[in-house]
Amino acid sequence: MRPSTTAEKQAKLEARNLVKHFGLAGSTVKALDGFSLTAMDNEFVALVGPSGCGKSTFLRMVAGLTDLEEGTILVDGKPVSGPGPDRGMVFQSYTLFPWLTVLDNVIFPLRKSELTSQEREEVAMGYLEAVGLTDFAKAYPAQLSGGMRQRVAIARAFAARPSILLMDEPFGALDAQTRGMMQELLCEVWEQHRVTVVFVTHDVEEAVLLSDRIYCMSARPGRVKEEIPVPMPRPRRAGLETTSEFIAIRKRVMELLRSEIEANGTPRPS
Amino acid sequence: MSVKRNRTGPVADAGRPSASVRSGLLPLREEISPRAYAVASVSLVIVTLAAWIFVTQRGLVDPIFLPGPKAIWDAAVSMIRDGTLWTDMVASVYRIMVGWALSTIAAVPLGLLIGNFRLFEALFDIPIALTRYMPVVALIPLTILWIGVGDTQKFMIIFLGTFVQEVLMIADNVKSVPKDMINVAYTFGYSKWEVLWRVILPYSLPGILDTFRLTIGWAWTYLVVAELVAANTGLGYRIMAAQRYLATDVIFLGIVIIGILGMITDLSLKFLYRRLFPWMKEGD
Ligand SMILES: Nc1ncnc2c1ncn2[C@@H]1O[C@H](COP(=O)(O)OP(=O)(O)OP(=O)(O)O)[C@@H](O)[C@H]1O
Ligand SMILES: [Mg+2]
Repeated sequence: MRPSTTAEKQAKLEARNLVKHFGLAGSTVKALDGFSLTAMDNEFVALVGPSGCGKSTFLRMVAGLTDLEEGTILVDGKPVSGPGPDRGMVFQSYTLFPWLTVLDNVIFPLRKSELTSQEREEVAMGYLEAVGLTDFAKAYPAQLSGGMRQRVAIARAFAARPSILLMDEPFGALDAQTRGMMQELLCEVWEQHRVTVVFVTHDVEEAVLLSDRIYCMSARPGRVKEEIPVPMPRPRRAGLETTSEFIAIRKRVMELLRSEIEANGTPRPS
Repeated sequence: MSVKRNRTGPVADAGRPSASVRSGLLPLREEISPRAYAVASVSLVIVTLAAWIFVTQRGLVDPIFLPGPKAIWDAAVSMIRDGTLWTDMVASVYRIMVGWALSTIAAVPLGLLIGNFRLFEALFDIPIALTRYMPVVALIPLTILWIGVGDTQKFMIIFLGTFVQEVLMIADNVKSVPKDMINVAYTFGYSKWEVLWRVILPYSLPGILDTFRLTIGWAWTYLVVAELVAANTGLGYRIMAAQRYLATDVIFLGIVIIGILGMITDLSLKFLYRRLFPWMKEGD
């Protein structure tokens, strides 16, 4: 159940026994209860669980946007206190700055660095190239489709060079086809620019496709119910979905999720 | 599949309602042809003008109540000749500018504080609730008692009429910034002051400019009311003075000029908006 001691040694991110309550209209809701999770350096970890089980809450706590209540979160062995550029986040909602061009959006996190303005532009163009949007560098976010905006958001998050990237259902609002393209793209970009990722999703297939390890959560109050390794080789290519290994892992994750949802009687979207 | 008689748009594409829903003059929340729009946008004005000309030419109403276009034109010419039209306009515009600027200079910082910091919201919560529905027009006698009937009193009425609402609207403009947009800047290592300057301010500027446009409109209303009650110059004063001599043509001229000046301000601010915020335009 608990991560082994050898794992704890090189852990990039370690959350131990988190408990979190929210006050809602007089009553309190227990969002997390004894939640623990470990992510290794440059590991891609997926987090799945029933709606409302505290996935976003956990990511916000790692990002330093929500206060801890009980338990600890260590990044490189040091406890987190407040947001910082070592932990980037990609939100489900569109968070591009509408008054900046695509290029300036990607430059935005680089403004805090010591690079010259020309270097910043070059770096930003590099990330735009990685997500295939160099032609739209001068466009404004309002001129882009939903999928393109999320690609810019990913480029911007990578440009900030965080050591942990937190992704909260980044493709949740996209149609199935665009979503598939985005998954491939993220896989490629990540294989180029390695970083520790915690990826929250409702889509089990997406979790298996992208991650090295899947954490399945219980219904609220959320804890990790089971940790499922995804030992499939990289780079991962199209056609992976039909391998027996993929299907077996997906089946296992789905069963876990279904038992949680049935046990609690809460229907889940999609 | 496609409806041939529909000239307004191409064949329905994916994600848009089908042509039959978009065709005709009353499609729900959809574009109509530019020609139909242009015709519609001038037709009410033309009908009103035509009715006016018809009624006054035929002598259907007493010119004391409703003068014809010719009478108003003559009034304009004579007022331009003797210079009163110009002095009245300058007096009114000057009062608007100063009164509105004073209100705005005070309202912008206060609105920013209230919109961004809960402490300031709490501090001003009750004072604003008590004063926001204050009948400013009823304060005119009091302000005259305090500071007479000069320009300062006009500034004060404009200020009292716009300030509180302007503060609230600017606070709302600031609050419209999505929380996650602020959060994402924090995760890039920006401090709260940098977030204020680099995220909250640029995001809320278009809304603030719109607030300016609306409050200038209110400033006009309050100025004219103040001038009607007590003044020696200004368009409102001219209207009031004309009433004493039953110079209805001058009353109408005053109203028309106020309307035109208001429209010019509104259009120039809309133009400025499009110029300053090109990123607001695209997309639907
Ligand atoms: N700011 C808040 N105030 C009050 N309650 C909150 C707040 N944030 C989260 N909660 C509650 O905590 C619980 C967990 O929320 P959270 O957003 O973390 O769920 P989630 O797992 O991300 O769900 P979903 O998959 O639907 O996004 C929910 O019951 C939610 O109502
Ligand atoms: Mg969530």
